[in-house]
Amino acid sequence: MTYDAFKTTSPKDIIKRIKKKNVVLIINKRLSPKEEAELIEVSMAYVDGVNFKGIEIATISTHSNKTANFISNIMRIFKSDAEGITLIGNATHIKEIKNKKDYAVLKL
Amino acid sequence: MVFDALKKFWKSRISRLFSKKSSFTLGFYGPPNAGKSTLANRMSLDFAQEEFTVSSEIPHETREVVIKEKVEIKKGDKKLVIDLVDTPGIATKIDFEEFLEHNLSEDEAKARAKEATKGVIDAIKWLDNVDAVLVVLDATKDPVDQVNITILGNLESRNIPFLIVANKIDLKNASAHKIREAFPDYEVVGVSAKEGIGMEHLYDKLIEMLNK
Repeated sequence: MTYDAFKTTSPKDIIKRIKKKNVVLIINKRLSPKEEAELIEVSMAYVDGVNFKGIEIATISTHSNKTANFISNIMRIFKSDAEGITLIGNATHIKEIKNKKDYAVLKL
Repeated sequence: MVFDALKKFWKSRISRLFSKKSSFTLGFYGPPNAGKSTLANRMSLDFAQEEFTVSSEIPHETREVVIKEKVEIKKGDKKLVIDLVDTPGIATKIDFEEFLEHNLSEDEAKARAKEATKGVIDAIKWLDNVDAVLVVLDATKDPVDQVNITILGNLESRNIPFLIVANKIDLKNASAHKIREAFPDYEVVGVSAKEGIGMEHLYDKLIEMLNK
């Protein structure tokens, strides 16, 4: 999904899509902290314990500074641009999406 | 939109410069089971001689925001009045089956999970009402976690001052160093809220932050 498409889709519809289709959504930008918090907030209203336990979300920077560590790079992006990607999936089917140094691991 | 954001930013900076506040709303934020309630209770015990919130080993024990008003923090000649706001742990997923491992019945576990989802929503909404935050992390866990990153990012983008508290440093496998390494741009204070270790240093840093 492009970030432009994400911006024109309501958080409710994003969560419904993840819940219904069991897809891992890849967005071509790093979401802002407020957008992430909003998605978490909205997703909680859909938790039913059986089909949907919540979301797994991870952000990967493509704007990394090799001398800084991974988190520093992410925090730097909070302050400047949003280069990177965001992965969002249904936590009922995805065990974990874990940030690593310059990649993410998706465990099913 | 950019203009509004700039206006808001400068308004908050200018109001901080000219209105030296003496009372604050301090939020305790973090993932579930990091020890937020234990730390909030420790502070309340130290300065108000009573606990005000419930802590336990079961995740999501705090499922609604609990407030202890007007706690007077004194250190030397410095004094601040603080409302302590214990918030539910922020999580991206809540699985009722996790509570079954703590000997809860299925009905109790499902009810707890439902309440916990509302708690996450409340905790996020409360970010609009706090003046400063203690981000409580479990020093025995890997700090590189999306929930931690999201919390810190939200505080940063809202210009809310915060300290990272590396809790449970009394435990064998705890490492405040790992948290410092993960978040080198931020102040990290190691404590054991349960054992009362490192609290004086935390209070010094808290007063320093709130007096800025």
